[in-house]
Amino acid sequence: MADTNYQTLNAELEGILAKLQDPDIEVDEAVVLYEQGVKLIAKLEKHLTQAENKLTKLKQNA
Amino acid sequence: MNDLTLTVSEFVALVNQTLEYAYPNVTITGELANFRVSKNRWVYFDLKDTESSIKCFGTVYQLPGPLEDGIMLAVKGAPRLHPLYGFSVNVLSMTPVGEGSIKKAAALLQAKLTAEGLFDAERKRPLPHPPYSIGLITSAESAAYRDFMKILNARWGGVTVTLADVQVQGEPAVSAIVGAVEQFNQLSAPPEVLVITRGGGSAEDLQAFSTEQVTRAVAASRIPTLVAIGHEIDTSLAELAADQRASTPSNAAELLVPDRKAVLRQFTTQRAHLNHQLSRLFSSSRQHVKTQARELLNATEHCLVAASQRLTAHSQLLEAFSPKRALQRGYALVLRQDGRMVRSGKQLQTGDELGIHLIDARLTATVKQVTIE
Repeated sequence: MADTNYQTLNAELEGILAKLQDPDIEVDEAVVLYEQGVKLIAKLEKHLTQAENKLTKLKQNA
Repeated sequence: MNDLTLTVSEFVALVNQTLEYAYPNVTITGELANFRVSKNRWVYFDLKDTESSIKCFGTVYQLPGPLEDGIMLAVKGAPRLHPLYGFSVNVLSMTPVGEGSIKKAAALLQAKLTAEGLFDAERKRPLPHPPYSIGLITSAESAAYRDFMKILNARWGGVTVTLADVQVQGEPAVSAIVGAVEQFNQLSAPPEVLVITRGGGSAEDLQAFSTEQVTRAVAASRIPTLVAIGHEIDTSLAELAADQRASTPSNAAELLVPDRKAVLRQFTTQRAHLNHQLSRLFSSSRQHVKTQARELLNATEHCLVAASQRLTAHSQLLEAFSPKRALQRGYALVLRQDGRMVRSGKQLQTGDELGIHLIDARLTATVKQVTIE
């Protein structure tokens, strides 16, 4: 999953959020989705941090 | 020969024979008076001084140019006694003499040729710069020739100069110069420019260059002309008729060809200018690329910030669905020893150790009994 790009991960997260907004959702499923969501957010944050670092490096070289 | 008795005609014939024998031709200098032209062909005038006056007769072809009473003329001619009209000089040639008369005659000719449009600025043609070939009309013996060639070769090389060696003063000068101009014009490969030049001199020395014949020949030349006569303040008519005039033979050479040293200097300046232009172009391009790089960075940063904001929002939304909310509502999470959630009683056996998460505490428990519903 580390290779998956930001867009795909983000789409996945949005899917989870949509499911979580369903009022009839089971508690168990909500927990699972929540766990998945947390993991996705961690990955997305990592992606963003990497991108920011890359940009900072490029700025220094420019 | 005393007591000769003759008829009138016999007497006239005798006098003419005597005159022809004694004075085949004479040159008489005097002031022009009663000048008139008949039928556009015949010229009648008197030549006089303070005490005497004689009649002269000639044709318009012998005129040096327009004349006016009062001008001093040297008239070359044959004295004759006309059977009906009496004594006269039959004119062979006539030339204005003395500074004042020469200038006066030149002024009259100038007015006439100006009226004809010979000196009009619109007639002037540009000279090739530099020319490949020059037809040079001057005296090979003259300082003018040496000066012209010296300056020409010092400034530029490789110009073919064809010399027409002519007399530039005295009576033969006019026809020699006119002939040279015509000859150059008749060549199958004529030179690109005609230069007619001589050094300075008195008004009389330079007279040939203000005659109608030379002036018309210069004006009629199909080859562009450059005329350079002496250092005088007065300009000759040939110079006025030329496409370009120069003050001296050296000046003529200067006008015709560029100075190779100056040309080389110009190249250096142009090269420096070109370098400057190029470096300006480079630096402006570099600036442009820099600007674009900055824009690229800004756009990317903007994109990252937007993504980061969206992520924060998602994160907050997700947090709202956190199981803690369920715990707050009084539910509990049951976890196995390995930390996995217990979703079904089928996963459990009596005696299993469990973790139970409440909102404010974590409990450990042992399964006493499993009843599947």
